[in-house]
Amino acid sequence: MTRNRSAYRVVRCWRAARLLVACLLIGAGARTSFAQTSRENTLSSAKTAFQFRTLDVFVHTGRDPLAAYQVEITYDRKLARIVGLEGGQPPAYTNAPYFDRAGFSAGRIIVAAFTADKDAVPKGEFRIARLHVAVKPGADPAFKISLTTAAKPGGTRIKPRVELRKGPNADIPGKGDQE
Amino acid sequence: MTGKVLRIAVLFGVSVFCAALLVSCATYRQGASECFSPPLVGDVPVDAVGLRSLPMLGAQLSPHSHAPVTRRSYRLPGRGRRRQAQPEPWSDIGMNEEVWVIAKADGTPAGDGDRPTRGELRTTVEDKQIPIPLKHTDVKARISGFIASVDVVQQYENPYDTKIEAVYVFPLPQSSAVTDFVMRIGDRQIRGMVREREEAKRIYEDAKRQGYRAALLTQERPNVFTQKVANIEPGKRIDVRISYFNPLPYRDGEYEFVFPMVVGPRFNPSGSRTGIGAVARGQRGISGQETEIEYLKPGERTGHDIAISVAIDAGVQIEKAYSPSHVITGQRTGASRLAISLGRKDRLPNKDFVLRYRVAGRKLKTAMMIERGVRGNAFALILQPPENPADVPRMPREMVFVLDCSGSMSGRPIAKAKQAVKRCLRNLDDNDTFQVIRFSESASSLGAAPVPATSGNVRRALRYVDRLKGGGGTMMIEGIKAALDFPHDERRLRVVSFMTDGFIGNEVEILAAVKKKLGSSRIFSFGVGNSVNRYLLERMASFGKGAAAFVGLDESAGAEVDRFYERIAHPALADIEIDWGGMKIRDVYPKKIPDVFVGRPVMITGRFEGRGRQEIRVAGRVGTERREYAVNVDLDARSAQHPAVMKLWARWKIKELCEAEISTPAPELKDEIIRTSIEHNLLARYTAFLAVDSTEKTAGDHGVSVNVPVPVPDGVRYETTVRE
Repeated sequence: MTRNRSAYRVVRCWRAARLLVACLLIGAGARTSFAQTSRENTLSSAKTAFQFRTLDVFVHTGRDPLAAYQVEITYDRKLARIVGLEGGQPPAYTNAPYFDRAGFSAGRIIVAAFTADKDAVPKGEFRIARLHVAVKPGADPAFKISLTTAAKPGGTRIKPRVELRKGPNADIPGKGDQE
Repeated sequence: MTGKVLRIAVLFGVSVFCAALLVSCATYRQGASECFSPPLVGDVPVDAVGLRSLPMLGAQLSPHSHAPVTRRSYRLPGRGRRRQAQPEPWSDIGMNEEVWVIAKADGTPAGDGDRPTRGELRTTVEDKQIPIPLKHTDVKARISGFIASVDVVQQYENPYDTKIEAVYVFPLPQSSAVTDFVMRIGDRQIRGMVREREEAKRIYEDAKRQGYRAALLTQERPNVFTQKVANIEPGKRIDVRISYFNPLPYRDGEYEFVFPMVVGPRFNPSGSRTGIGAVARGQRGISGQETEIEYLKPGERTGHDIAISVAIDAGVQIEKAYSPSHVITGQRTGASRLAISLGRKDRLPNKDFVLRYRVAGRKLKTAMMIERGVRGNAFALILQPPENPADVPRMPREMVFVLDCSGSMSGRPIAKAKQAVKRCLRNLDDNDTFQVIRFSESASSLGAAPVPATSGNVRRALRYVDRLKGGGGTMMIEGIKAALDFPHDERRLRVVSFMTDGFIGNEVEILAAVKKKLGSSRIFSFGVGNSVNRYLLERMASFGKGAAAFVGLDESAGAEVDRFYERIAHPALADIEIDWGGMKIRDVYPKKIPDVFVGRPVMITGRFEGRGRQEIRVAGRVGTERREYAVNVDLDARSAQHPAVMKLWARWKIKELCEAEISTPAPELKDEIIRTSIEHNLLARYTAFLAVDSTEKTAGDHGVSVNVPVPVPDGVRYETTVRE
């Protein structure tokens, strides 16, 4: 009877041990599959993540000083989003310019700034603004710029040339704006 | 065979047991986070500096007063000695100003040992500063007419040795229209843009993951916002400037500018996941709510301070300006101009900054402001009721006083609320009936039905109110049911007065219940405390065709109660109709013009076409009588032009759409909110301001996320409101 009881205990211990092992295996399996899932999620999110770039707005005013400007930039809204607007190089235009919201949702943005400081009005070729852009993965959207209006101090209209250039390469860590 | 079946059964049973154990553990954590800690009966609340709260004296600025410098002393608890408060530097104070000063002790600076390593926030050290990434908040307001334009600069600086994302939940006035957002890194400024909320969050997360500096501003409630700033490198600083417009309320003869500094700890009913959780510092995630605020423990403080300056250009002479909440200094810059700033020793951000000013002329007149733009014109009309409507017979009232007795009201707030209720009870008219209802986890009342305001009943009610104590959760829905569900006496006007701090996370549910159950009742809400949920109280009063009033813990409840009786003693101008004359009007908000009370004008905004002088005719009902009066406006007057009117109109439109959503959520409403928000670059609940600096990736991954812990509001007990 006693032997039967001790044998029964051994069987119970053995069953408990097997149960524990089974639980651990199930747990480990679940963990592994969770880790795989989260790795897959990370990989898939990396594939679909927005890429970030900058576009610089340059003007060539020649000998005319630039007291105010307004430019229009169009792009394919399916491929890109503007996520920030920064000022330019000359001290008169370092503040972030203003933009018009009306055409914003349709892939069009109107950027404008002015300076009231007659002594600091810049001329020649310089960067007047910088766009920060989020681009859908794999896309290479085209951005077009046109001058709406520009003026010298006193309000005389001028027609400077405007162009968009690729900004600092953001893909290399630590290699930012060298200006 | 039986053995096998038995083994399988045992295995199954054990697995079920383990699963149940895991589920119960998770449920316990969630359930525990849904309610406040049990109330503690304790000492007078101690503020985060470690000083006992002082009775606050407001600063008075008067053209006829001279400059006595008042020094006050305070006692340090447990130290048994007095320190003499230091005066402000007086160099910039003119002779015509009177300045009151209350000084507080300087905080103990943080030692080097308080810089945490990756993934941790340092544990509490009593009476030591806790390093946090928000260093300073600078508020600059310019008030022109009745509109304030405010720039708030939040300076984030990483005090740790690893890269971080700073997350800060903060309040702004509930009527504010956030219109601009600029991230500043060194000398560079990047202007952010409004985007659809989910898309903005996704772009922000992508930028954060890839190592770009980015900032995201979202609106959790009309008065609660979350600021996230990603990839702040060790020792580096990123500033965020938020700009908003705010129409100033004109209350009982005074304009009021309010800048809230801290979100009070909210109670979230069981099952709620969309509320605002209140947890102890370092306990992120335990509330189970979408938005969560970490609160500093008593005795802890951070180096975060706040500076406020307000430039008022009233257009007419400013007779008086004062702050019932803070020490202020001021300088007159002209008869109609005043420059006010927050006292240098009162910069702990733990209560609403309230500034009131009175202008010349006893009555505010109906006035219109306009803005003309390339995409159309907008107006904002401030509508005043006609004078002397008091000759209309007064209707008997059924007064229902609803007192919040939850844990957050424990201590000074409930004492102040009881003081107000008792004064109300003593002011009752013989023809009135009344009821007193208390609520916390559940509601109970003085009696089953309202009773006549006999002296015996009033005495019984006063004893009942005296016995009330604060403790437990804030099931405001129970208070609303108790106040609005019982049968209405048709011969009387039911006036329901809520006295609460409004510290709940389920505002939408509460407002929906108010809308559903209101009937013919009017709601007058009293906010009691130094950082109350003004959004909830204003909206309840608005839905309830009444008015909201706020009593700070250092203000007289009696004066506010007297003004409340003055308001309900005079019938409101109701059922208002406006004949706009020669103006072509469209898109007017609010769609239904609310009743106008004496001393409480309302603002109406809309789009218009027209020029020159116009006569507008306003008609309405006062009691049973019809009244009509004319308002003359000049649409070409330069003095009527204001550059913020279009934004105010857009903000009103969004507000109306959001309120319509409370009762009937519809995708069209959401789409219209998003469209209006993006078109006017105005923050709303479904949009967000986003700014990314894509010139440079910071080294390494995105680091750890650090919530900015805040102090519990002045007068609120940490023990009864914050989950640990």
